[in-house]
Parts: sequence; structure tokens; C-alpha cells
Amino acid sequence: MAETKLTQVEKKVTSETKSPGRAGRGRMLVGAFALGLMVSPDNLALLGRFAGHFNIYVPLLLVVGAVVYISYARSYENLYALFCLESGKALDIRKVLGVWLAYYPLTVRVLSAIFLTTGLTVTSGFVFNEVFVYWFPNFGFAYILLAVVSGLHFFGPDTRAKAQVLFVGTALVGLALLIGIGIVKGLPYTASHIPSGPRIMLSWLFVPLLFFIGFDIAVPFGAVSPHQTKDILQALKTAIAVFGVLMILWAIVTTQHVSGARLVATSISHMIAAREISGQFGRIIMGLVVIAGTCAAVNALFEAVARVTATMSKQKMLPRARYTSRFSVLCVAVAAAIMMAGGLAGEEILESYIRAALLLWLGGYGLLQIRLLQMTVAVTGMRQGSTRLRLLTTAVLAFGGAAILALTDDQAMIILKVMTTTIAIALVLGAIGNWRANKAPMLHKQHDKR
Amino acid sequence: MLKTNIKPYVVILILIGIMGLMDMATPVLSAAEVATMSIDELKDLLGSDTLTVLDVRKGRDWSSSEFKIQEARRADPREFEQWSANLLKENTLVLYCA
Repeated sequence: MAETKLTQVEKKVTSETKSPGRAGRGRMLVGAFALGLMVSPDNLALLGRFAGHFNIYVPLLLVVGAVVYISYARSYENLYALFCLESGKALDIRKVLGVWLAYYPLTVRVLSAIFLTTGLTVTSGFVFNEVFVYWFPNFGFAYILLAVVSGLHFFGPDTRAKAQVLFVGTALVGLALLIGIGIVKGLPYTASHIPSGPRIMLSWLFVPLLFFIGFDIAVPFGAVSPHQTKDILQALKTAIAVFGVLMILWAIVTTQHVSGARLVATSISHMIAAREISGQFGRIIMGLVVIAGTCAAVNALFEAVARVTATMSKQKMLPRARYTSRFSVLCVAVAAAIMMAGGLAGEEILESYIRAALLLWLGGYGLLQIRLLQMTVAVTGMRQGSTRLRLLTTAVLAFGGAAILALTDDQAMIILKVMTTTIAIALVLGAIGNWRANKAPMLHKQHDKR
Repeated sequence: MLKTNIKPYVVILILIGIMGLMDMATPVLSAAEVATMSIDELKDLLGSDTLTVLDVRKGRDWSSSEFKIQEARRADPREFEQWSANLLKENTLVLYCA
């Protein structure tokens, strides 16, 4: 049978969680991919500016962000309960999101993967050039890094899963080391830079909703048992909590060593903080954190695209092919390479594209909460009031946060255009998919039976 | 071990890597066509009233870089008409782009 290779890591995760002895390893894989996008250098840069704006309120706001995301993680418990646990079936994307929005995860993940990969690899190129090998061209390193990380997806699930653990582990250990040095060398808090206008305050208030995006990259679409569900949830919650704690500590250390005004003004707060904490040694450690974080984020983004395309291919929403996942990763890698060659990384508009993609991803969480709310009400009626309240609150936060972050951005019009276009593309694809499904209902019935 | 039918993909990935290696040669070719200044030469001139340093990097080329010349003014190459009109033509103009 021409089985897609896209879900190989997913199979690995689920098979390893079947045995209690190997459950820890399975949880580590889910956690490593969940942390992939979180440890990206873009998040560190954003955290620096956020810390500059809110200073002593940062821990509280990050805790709120983490709690919201733990709630999003918990919604997968509801999702598995509604679709998988009783029936023993895989998650059918059309049933979960509805036929019209079934292509939304695909379009958002592809958009995010292309633009984030372009930006992150170029950032790593600069860091490699400026911190490690001065004579090596930054774009040269960016292309090589892109080729190496995408190449991981051609060597089987073990390779890319182990590589992901290595990337994430390096980034976390490096960050923890700098935090430790920073705490030992602790200085009194520097004066906080309070944002002047309510618009800026409002915009930055919702930024914690961006830090944990991508936690769901390794969530299996396949059928899972109650035990596996518990393991997966535990891995997701642990990843969010670990990253939340590290972010809080890094924000505290950063504000101890760099003034709020400087943090707000710079786009490389993490590099400046590392230099202030430990000089050249700090720069080298942060350089490693940035490069490892980039590899982790790009590998996770490719995994995200590969998983969704493989699942959709299996569910006949995309052409079925043996190498759907590899082909999709290759397409994203080539698209990112073209973007880099075309000079997109040197354009301010790339930041708007990335912001739009992340906001759409955030909106996707809201969408899932709403769909779960609808289904929970349909199945349980007006019982489970706490679940309904949780789903409604987190949906409002996702949609409201995405809307406020988009509308208060300096490039609001560009962001809204990208978001609107992406949603339109997803809807058109959904319409085509719906038309195809209606055209060949027998085909889908056979697929469901399988 | 690599299977035969994934070879085309691997070839494309190698090509992306080659793009990176080719990028190493590009600055040399470009630099040969324009007048350049060494870091030491620029250091000697910094602080002079007759020097204008323009940082023409954009996007992540600028935002991801740790290296920024203190006296440099950011100038978007696409808005050349705007900022070029305010420059003193008798000054030494240094454009920093990478």
C-alpha cells in the first residue's frame, strides 16, 4: 500500500506512548516539536521589546499567556474525546473544522513556514557571520542551514525527531546558562520604559498570545487511546510551562541588565542582553541559542506542513502520493529559498507577512475552540458548563487578540490584506474540496470504512 | 539509506545549498565594481564633519545585525530621491550595505 510517510513521527510518538517504559520518549518528541517555534530567535527578540514595555508586569502577563495556551492544549482532550476515543478513528479535518474551513490549517501552516523560514534562516545567517565566522557570507549560511534542515525530512522520522530534541535542547540549555549567569551577576532592576499611548499599550498587552504559537505542531491526527491522550496532553502542558518559566526568567534577567528604553528600541535585545551579561562568551552562547532555535523552528514548521499535508492526503483532500510530506517540505524549502534570493528578507514587509501568518495561526486556535464549543453543546446539551465557559473565553481571547494585534500594528493594512487573502484561499480550496467530495461521495464512503 | 525515488528531491536540496555557496562569491564580484573603504580607513574618518555614513540596509539585513555604525543614518535605497537631496555633495559619502 502506498502509505504516506508524513505521519511517521506521529506513528513513532503514538507507538512509543503505548509502552509505559517508552512513554517518556514519546512525550519528549511531542514536547520537542511543541517547543520548536517557541524557541525561535524571533520570540526572543519580541520578548525583549515586550519586557521593555511592561517590565515588572511581564511575569504576570506571561503566566496569563501560558494559562490560555494550556487551555488550548486541553481542548485537544475534548477533540479526541469527541472524535477518536470511542470510535477509534483518526481526526477527520473536515468533520473537526467543517468542509469550508478544512483547508485553513494547511494554508496557514504553509504561509507561516515559508515566511518564518525565510526570516529565521537569514537572521541565523547574520548571527553566524557576526558571532562565529566573520568571513562567511550570512546568506550563504542561511541557504546551507535551509538545505540541511529540509534534508532532515528525507532521512526518516528518527533523524528529524532526534535532531529536533538536539536543537531544542541546545537552545534551552544555552538560554538557561545565560539566565544562570545573569542571576548570579544580578543587578537592581533598571528603570522601566512605560509606553506612551494606549494604542501601544493595548497592542503589547496581547503579545503574550504570540509566544506559545505552534505548541500543537506534534499533536497526532491519528487515532489515539485514552492513555496516549493523557501522555500527549502532559507533554504539551510541560512544554508550555517549561518555556513559560524560561521566558519569565529571561525577561527578568534582561531587564536587570538592559534598560527598558533600549529594549524597546532594539530588534536584537537578546544579543545585547547576552553581551551585557557575559561579554563575548554571552554572545557565543546566544549565537548558539539563535542558530539552534532557528533549526528547531524551521524543522518544526516543516513537520507542521508535512503532517497536515499527509493527513489531508490520507483523507483525500489532497492528491494521494507516496511522498506527499517530502514533496510539501521541498516546496516550502524552495519557496523560502526563492524568497531569500528575491531579497524578501531585506524588506520590511516580511515582518508584516510573518505577523499576519502568526495571527492567522492564533485565529485557528479560536476557530477550534468555537467548533469544539458547538460540538460539546450538541453532544452534552447544557451540561459541562465549565468546559463551555473555558472554550468560549479562550475563543474570544484568540479572535480578540488576533484582531487587536492586527489593527494596532503599524502595518495594519498589509497584515489585514494578507490575512484576508489567506482566508479567501482557504475558503476557495474548501469549496473545491467540497465540490470534489460531493462529486465522488462513494470514494469518501470507502475511505471512511477504511 | 536513501531510496532511489527521493534522489530528485535531494538534488534540489543540494542545489539550495549550492545557492548558499555561490552567495560567497557574489560580494566579491559586486565589490570589484564599486569603490570600497576598509574598516580602518572609515575608523580614521569617523567624527569628521566632512563624513556622512549612510546605513542602507533594510529589513532583517538591518534588524538582525549587531553591527551598526554609531554615526550612521538609516537611508532606504527606494527613497533615494528624498534623502539624497539633503546630503552635502562635498562630503565623503559612505554607504554601508552589508
